[in-house]
Amino acid sequence: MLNEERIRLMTRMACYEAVEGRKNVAIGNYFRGDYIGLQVIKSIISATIAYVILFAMFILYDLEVFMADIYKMDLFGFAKSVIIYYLIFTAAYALISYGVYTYRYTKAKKSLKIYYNNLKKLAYMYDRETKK
Amino acid sequence: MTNLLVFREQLKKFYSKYELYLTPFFKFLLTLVTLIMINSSIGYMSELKKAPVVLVLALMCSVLPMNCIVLVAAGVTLGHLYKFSMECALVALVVFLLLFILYLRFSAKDTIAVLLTPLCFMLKIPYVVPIAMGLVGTPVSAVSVASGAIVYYTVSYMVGSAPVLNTFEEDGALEKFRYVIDGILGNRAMYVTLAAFVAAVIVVYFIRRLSVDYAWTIAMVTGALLEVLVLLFGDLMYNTNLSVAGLIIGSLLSVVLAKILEFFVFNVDYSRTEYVQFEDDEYYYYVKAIPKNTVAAPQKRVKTIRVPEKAVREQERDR
Repeated sequence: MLNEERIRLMTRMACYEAVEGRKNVAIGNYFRGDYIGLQVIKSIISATIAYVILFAMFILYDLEVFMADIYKMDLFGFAKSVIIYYLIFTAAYALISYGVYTYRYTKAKKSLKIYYNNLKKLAYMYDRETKK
Repeated sequence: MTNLLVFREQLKKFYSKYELYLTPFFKFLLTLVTLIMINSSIGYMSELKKAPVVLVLALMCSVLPMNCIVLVAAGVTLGHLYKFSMECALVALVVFLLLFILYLRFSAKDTIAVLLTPLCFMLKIPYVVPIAMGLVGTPVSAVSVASGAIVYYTVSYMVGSAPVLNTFEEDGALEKFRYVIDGILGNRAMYVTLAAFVAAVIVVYFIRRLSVDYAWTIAMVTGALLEVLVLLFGDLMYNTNLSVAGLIIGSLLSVVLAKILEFFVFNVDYSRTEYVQFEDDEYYYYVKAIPKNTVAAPQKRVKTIRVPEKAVREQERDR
């Protein structure tokens, strides 16, 4: 016999799994620290690539002046300022992504809680059916 | 009004019935319009302007996720710019790369705003985008709208300065590069527009969340007024060559458009028909879940009123 109530619940859960749930389940597989840490590391890599691109544009913009001055300028001081700007840029970006991913993790966990409750309900329905 | 509501219900019904075909069709249409607009404004590469190429790209995008439309549009733009000048293509590539690396990682949902903003700029109705994004998005959507505006101003500056760029010598690549960068970074109209758009998105978002009557309408009007104010103020301060008549007509038009969008798109739940499959120990289930329509559109019923023959006969007799 088909249990209509159970099929309805399963359908609703399958709908959730198909769209929103898939992402949330992927997030839910991580511990909080692991997920946020991983995303922040990815953000740092992105920020580094972006900084390298910006730096390359900066050099290219003034290439002639830069090439003429390269022997005269304080290379150590220049490198120091480049690194300081890099650290500020990356830290700011990492901080923003930390905030974003913390929020996303909390939201996903909350939504998964309902999903797991439904799973429990489903298991209970199965139990009841088999006892019959 | 009732007719409109009924029409909306019918539209909703129609959409949920044919959702499977309508969504790809709309994606196809959006890609087609985008590519035609790009080709008509910066069509330097003749290979990309050919109808089969455009159609194949649009067809491809109709079955791919929404974000692919943005990628294709960016690719086509780069192709045209590459044919026009290497330096311009390089600058545009950097702008796109920074956008993808830094911002679009976060908000995949808002990507479409980056495409719609330049598109609406080309259609001369840019002021509707911040209002619409404020109504449906979050304050973060401001970044998407701003990114779209940056892309538009970058590309339109390059196209606008084509006559000057063509006067540079063959080996003047660095000068060309510097000229483009200076032009983009010194574009005051861009900064003023960015400020207006960001302010509009944020203000519209916060007003439409207020628990007052007509919050959405108040939000739209305030957003449009704010855009006009900031843009006029920017024009006075920095002399951005703004067409005041265009601004006012554009803003009025954007409020009307936002109102239409609110009625047909934002406040309607076009819940989709879902196709899901799962199994238990005994069965495989292939379920088609159709959303229920709460307000049914009234069906026209023709009722014929027949006069009983007896009454007709009596009437004739009386005469």
